[in-house]
Amino acid sequence: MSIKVEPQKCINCGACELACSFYRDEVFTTMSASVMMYREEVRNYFGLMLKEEDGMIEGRPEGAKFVAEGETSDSEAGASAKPILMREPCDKCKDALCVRFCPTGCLTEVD
Amino acid sequence: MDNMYTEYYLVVDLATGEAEEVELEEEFVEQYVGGAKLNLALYDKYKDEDPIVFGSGLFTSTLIPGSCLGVLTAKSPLTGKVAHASITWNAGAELKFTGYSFVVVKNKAAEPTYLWLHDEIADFVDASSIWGKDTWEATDAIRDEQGEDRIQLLIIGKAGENKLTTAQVINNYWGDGDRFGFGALFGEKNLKAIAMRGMGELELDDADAFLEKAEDLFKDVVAKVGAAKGFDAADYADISADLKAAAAKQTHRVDADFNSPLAYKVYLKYREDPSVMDMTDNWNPGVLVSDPIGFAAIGKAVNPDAAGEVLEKVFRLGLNPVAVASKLTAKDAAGAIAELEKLAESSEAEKFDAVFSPMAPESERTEAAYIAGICPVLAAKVDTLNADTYAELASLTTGLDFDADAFKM
Repeated sequence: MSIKVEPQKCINCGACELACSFYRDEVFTTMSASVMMYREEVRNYFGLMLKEEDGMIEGRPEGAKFVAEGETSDSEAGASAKPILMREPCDKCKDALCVRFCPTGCLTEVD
Repeated sequence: MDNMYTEYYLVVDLATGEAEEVELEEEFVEQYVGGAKLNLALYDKYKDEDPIVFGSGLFTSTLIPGSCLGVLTAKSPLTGKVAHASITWNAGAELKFTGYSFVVVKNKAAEPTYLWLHDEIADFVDASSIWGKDTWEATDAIRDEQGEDRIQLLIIGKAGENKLTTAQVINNYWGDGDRFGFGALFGEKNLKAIAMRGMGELELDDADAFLEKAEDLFKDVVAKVGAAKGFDAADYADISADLKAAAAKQTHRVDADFNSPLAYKVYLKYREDPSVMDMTDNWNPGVLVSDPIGFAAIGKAVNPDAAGEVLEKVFRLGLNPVAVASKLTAKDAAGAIAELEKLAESSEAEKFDAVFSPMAPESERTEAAYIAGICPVLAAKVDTLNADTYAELASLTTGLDFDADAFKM
């Protein structure tokens, strides 16, 4: 099981951050999630990043791509997402809360 | 309290530069619940010291759908009465994560100052270098200074600095629910901004029971919101067909408030092809229509295809779009922008015909949302976001006993 990211569907509500953090610690915070929103706010350039064991999925407005650990991101938006490198990777939990609380289908579970 | 709220609220004295943490006692929460209701109790407690209260609702920052709401409570310089402005987007949620669910700002600073709340720390920061800057420049400057681009701000522009009753408190770059001239109060206090960012955690009483109820409510809310987005989701605003048609040609993407499924905020691009999804070198390609009623007002005053650009200037100067729309005579963007610059420099406070229900129609559900911390735009659309639902959830999450009357002023 893994999480598929379709960033074009994202509305940047951040429910996934809250939900993943709640799954991990049963508290409300945005800080312990494996998924993280980023937003270049004044330009409305936004999406989300999902930390995985061997890298991360960058969900940019123009599309999602996997960036392996050690590779560098080729866009300025990588900078605002840097803190995700400190996060725990997605543990690929079943029936994931981030998916259950995503209102747009931006995040889905796939086999 | 160890559930839903932080342990303390903060009382800031701008005159002395001192900040005091005060315990948020369980009995106080039982009596006043949160949001506008608890804000009002705090306002009354400190009313001799000219307070502005920024507070969260009981469910702000939680997994209850629409949990974005912060409420700004003060005496309106426009009406002379205490009023509550809804603050959507992310500032209410961020306030709770700073470690303070409520902040009371008393008295007046001697010099321009901004308040920087982060991880149970309150810093008074010299704002002399950003006094005079517009809200966009000042937001960028504060985020750069503190090294975090997710800092949420309540901030003023020239209009607030000049203490105009047509001033509005801006939420980062975007206008929000202040129709009460609270921007002028920030100016009176020499307060450029309240900046917030935190790593706080909120605990709750019965996590398993809460999750089940919250998910049921989430599914219900998503089903009721349906496919509505953009201006179709903001149907409380009277946006003309011409304005909608002009905006459609500039629409980039739609955005939602913190933890809300309702993407009613529309980003318009008029300095770049709106279909461009990549990030380009253009740092300010357009504006977020964060306040559909304000956009409708501006769109009636100027040419529909100029409304976005004019709204941007309104936000940058920290003006209330509903208040200034009727003063514009120019129909083109350049002419209207020149008029706005003059309006923001004006030295006299003045009265105007204002809409005093900035977000969603007045109703029991709106009132309950202002106490619960739920976006009133969403609550107006979803009948189950009501006082009965909040009372049941409140009892589960806090372990205290609440009934529906608790969510009435």
